Amino acid sequence: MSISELDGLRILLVEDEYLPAVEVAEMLHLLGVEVIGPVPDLDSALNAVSDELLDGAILDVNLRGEAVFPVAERLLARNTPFLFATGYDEWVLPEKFRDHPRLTKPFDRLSLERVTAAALRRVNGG
Amino acid sequence: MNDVGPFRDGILEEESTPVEAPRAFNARPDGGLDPVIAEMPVPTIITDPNLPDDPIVSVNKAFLDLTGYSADEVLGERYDFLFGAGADPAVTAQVDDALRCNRDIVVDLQTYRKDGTPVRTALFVTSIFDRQNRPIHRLASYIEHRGTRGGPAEIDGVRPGGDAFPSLANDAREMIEANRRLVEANCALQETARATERLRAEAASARQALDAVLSSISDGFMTVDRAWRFTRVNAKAAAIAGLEPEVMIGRNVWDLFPDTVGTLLHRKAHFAAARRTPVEFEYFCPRLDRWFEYRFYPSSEGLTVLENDITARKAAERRQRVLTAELQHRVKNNLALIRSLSTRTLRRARSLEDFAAIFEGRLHALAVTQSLLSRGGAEEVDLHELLLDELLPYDAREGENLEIHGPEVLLKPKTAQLLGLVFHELATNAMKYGALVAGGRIEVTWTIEPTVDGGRLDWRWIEAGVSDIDRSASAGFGRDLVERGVPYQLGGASRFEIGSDGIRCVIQVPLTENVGKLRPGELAGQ
Repeated sequence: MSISELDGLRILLVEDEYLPAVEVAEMLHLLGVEVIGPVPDLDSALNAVSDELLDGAILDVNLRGEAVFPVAERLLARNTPFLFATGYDEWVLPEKFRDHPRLTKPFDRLSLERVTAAALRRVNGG
Repeated sequence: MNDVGPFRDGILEEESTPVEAPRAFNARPDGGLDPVIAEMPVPTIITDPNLPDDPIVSVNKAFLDLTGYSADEVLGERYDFLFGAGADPAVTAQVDDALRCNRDIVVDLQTYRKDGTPVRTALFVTSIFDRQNRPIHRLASYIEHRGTRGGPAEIDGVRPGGDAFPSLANDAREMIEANRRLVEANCALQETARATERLRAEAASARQALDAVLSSISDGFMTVDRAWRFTRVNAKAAAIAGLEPEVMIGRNVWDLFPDTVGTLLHRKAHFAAARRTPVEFEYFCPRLDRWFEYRFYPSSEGLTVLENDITARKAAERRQRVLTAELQHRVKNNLALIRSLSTRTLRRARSLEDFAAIFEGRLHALAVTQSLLSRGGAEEVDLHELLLDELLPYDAREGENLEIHGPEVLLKPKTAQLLGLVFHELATNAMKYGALVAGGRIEVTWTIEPTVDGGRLDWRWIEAGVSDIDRSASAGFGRDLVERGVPYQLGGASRFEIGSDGIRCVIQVPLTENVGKLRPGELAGQ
């Protein structure tokens, strides 16, 4: 396997379900990513954004009944790239996040790599 | 002049060829005929044979000049009131007879002016008929023989009894013909006027009927002319606009509602009018904060507009969309869960057959939760029920090798999904290695421990009566779910122990809104 574009990056994974969280974390490991988390709830996600040096973040939208958008806002403020991983259609997202990169569940490792890399390039590139 | 000469026998009987009078010509007394005779130089009266005694209903100036009477004195009299006592009974009888038979007639008569002066006249009488050939009017003209006043004289210089009479008879025919043409022309005019009036009345009544229909329908209805002025506005449309219909009618649409200029409504209206094609669209009106469905139909007058408030429908559609999105979301999450479950199972499987058996069991465990959730659209799953359903495929019989005690707890979907998998894994282990073989038994109990934030579910699975448990083989996935999955996903703490007589599993999760709750009215710790 060639070295992925994500190799060596520190990416926060926010996902409130255990099994999918473990699986996506494993996929990211295989892509050479240093996974921060996974974390299942809003508080730990906000803490991670504050405490960790992040190259990017993958955000589940619904965290135990709470929307992840405060985390997204904080990442925007820090100019940290992120993408949503969700089963929701885009129109459920607030207007300002509608054009944001989005992974539709379920996804495989290839989509994860492609969309994550594109999302990270988007901010880093311009 | 008593000697009327050959005229005595020369009663000219016209063929009784009734005038094709238009059918509407039946109102009386008929002022409508007045203009016909008013300007005629020939002294003429009109009578109405349908009134008692066939009275005079109209008279012209020439007649009044000839006779010296005023109109008031003439109207209401019989046509023969000028004949005087000396009239020849034979002649008057002929006239009466002709009138009874509705024949036209010309006779030579002695008549008298108001001042008593005798006047020799030729009397022409013609009848006007309606469609059913019933006489509705008689037109009688009196022509004076010149120079007859005061005594016998010549007519136009021709001696009485001479050949003046054939000439007079010809004149009379022409006169009658002229009269008839005049009357016909007038009738046609009258008919046109009546038809117009009738159409106007019909249009008015149709309009009234239309207005009644329009005010009764629940949709807004408007018409606008080519200059975009409202020409018709029903009650509903006015109510939507918050105005009275009278206020809107005649006003320019875009002047009255300037906020719509430049909007979709404005564009669609112009499109429909310019292209003369119907359009149908939905429009949100910010001023009213409501949704409308519009239908524009071009007409010869302008546009016909139907307006329907669909705010409620739009709200329902939006709710439906949200529900559908939520369902989609759950389906996709479930697929993601199944995906991770299969990845996980595949990694630990010793063979494809091994994978198939284990994965099928786990998929079934998810399906059990799902069917409890989808039953009656429930948003929660009863803990006791979930446990029983997950244990159903195994040889677990409540009251024999299985004891279950605990208050009624309702679990949220994701909680139920995870715990369902946990129960499945525990049951599979018990079946393979533990309590569900060799006379063991399982006791499942739970209580709700009070905490500051709404209570904690303390759930215990305790196996007993198991000996010789194969520790090495047991419980990789189940143990992981309990030890890591439950704290990660539900918060709280858990313990998984393999004891000498079976597995002991303790799960403690805070009953937050997102995890589940005690059924309302249920006592904790029972």
